[in-house]
Amino acid sequence: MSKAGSQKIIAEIKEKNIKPESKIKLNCKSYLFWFLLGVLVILGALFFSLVVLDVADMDFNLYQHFGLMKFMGLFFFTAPYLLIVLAIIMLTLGILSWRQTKRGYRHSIVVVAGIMSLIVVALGALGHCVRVNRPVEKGLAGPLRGSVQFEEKRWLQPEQGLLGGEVIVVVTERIDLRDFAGKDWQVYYSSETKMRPGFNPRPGERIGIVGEIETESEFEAYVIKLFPPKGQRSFWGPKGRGNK
Amino acid sequence: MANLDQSATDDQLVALAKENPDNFAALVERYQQRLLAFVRRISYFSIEETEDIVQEAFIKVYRYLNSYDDSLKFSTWIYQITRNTVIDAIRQKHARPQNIRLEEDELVNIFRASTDIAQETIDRDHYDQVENIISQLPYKYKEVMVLRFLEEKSYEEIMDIIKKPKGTVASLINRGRKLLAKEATKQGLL
Repeated sequence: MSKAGSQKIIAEIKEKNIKPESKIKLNCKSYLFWFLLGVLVILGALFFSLVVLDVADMDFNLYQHFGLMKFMGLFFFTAPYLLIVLAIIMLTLGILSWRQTKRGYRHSIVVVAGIMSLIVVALGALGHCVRVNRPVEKGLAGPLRGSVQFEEKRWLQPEQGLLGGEVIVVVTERIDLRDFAGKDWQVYYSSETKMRPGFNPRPGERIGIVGEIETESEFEAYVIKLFPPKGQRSFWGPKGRGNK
Repeated sequence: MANLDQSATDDQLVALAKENPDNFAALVERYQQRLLAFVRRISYFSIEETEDIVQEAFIKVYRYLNSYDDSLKFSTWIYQITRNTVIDAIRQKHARPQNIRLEEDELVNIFRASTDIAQETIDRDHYDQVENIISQLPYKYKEVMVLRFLEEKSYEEIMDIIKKPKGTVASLINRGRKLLAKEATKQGLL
């Protein structure tokens, strides 16, 4: 190459009229991935805040009734897996976006994953504290309707302390309930039963109950959660009046 | 210009090249031999193909001059682009980058750096054996060892050239050295 080689390169640059490309054009890929990263972190944080909202419905004193092992079992049965998976997907895509930014390769995947997880958890917790997750919960219910059937099945385990169905009648401290399989139950609750503030079950509403089976058709409620109306909402949270 | 070529820093030459493509010649002349050697060391292309790759790399460098920023050394940046061009060329050939072409002294340099063996103890009869050991190393190790022991790049520079975290670079070099030493011991060279 040498001198002749350099002249050949310069000649080709001139012949093909090659110009240095603009800085904005060259950096747009990096800008795009930074933007994507921001969006994914926000989405991840929102999903995480929805997980927190759902988990917060669980009364952690229940382990006194059930014992630690059964309580842990209930906790895992009722965990909002779809939301957790969505939060993890956003986190993973966020990490991949980071890696695609101009200097993203400099940090190890473990460090990036750690930092991103902290940001998502911190923003998610903040979102829960300022109640951003409640309107989001409503908004997301429609697109995620497909999970309803799966969730209904999870709440048809009265022996495991999970019962879900439609309220038929509400009388003092008792709910007559038809479960998702069509079986009728009498569910007993009290002022000790945990419900979101302002929520009182009404006929026609779909609810999920964490409690204990008493007899073949009687159930004692420790926690009552509102399900979405069939075909309109996912199960995650109360709609309207109970949703403060 | 001739005086400027000798004394000017890379960054000054970059600024001049942006104004006039003729000024880019100074950067080409400064780096072409190093890049030709680098491409030869990390690939198995013929001399003509190596020259074409380096030429293509320089044209990319010229095209992307505005994306160069001083958070990297210019030499690191130009090595990064050249390495990417080599990888593209290997992909275009639908081949695996298994083999590299090293000269005898280069083989010995890598071998010595990995095993701390004195150069005098490797006589000409052993070159084939050393070449065989190095050529059997996986490409990812050979590449970082070439950058470290022949191109004499720091870990930070290698990190930016191959776009891998510094810890990964250190680990690749360390594992490469161990593999080489193990194989050399097995073959009775150590």
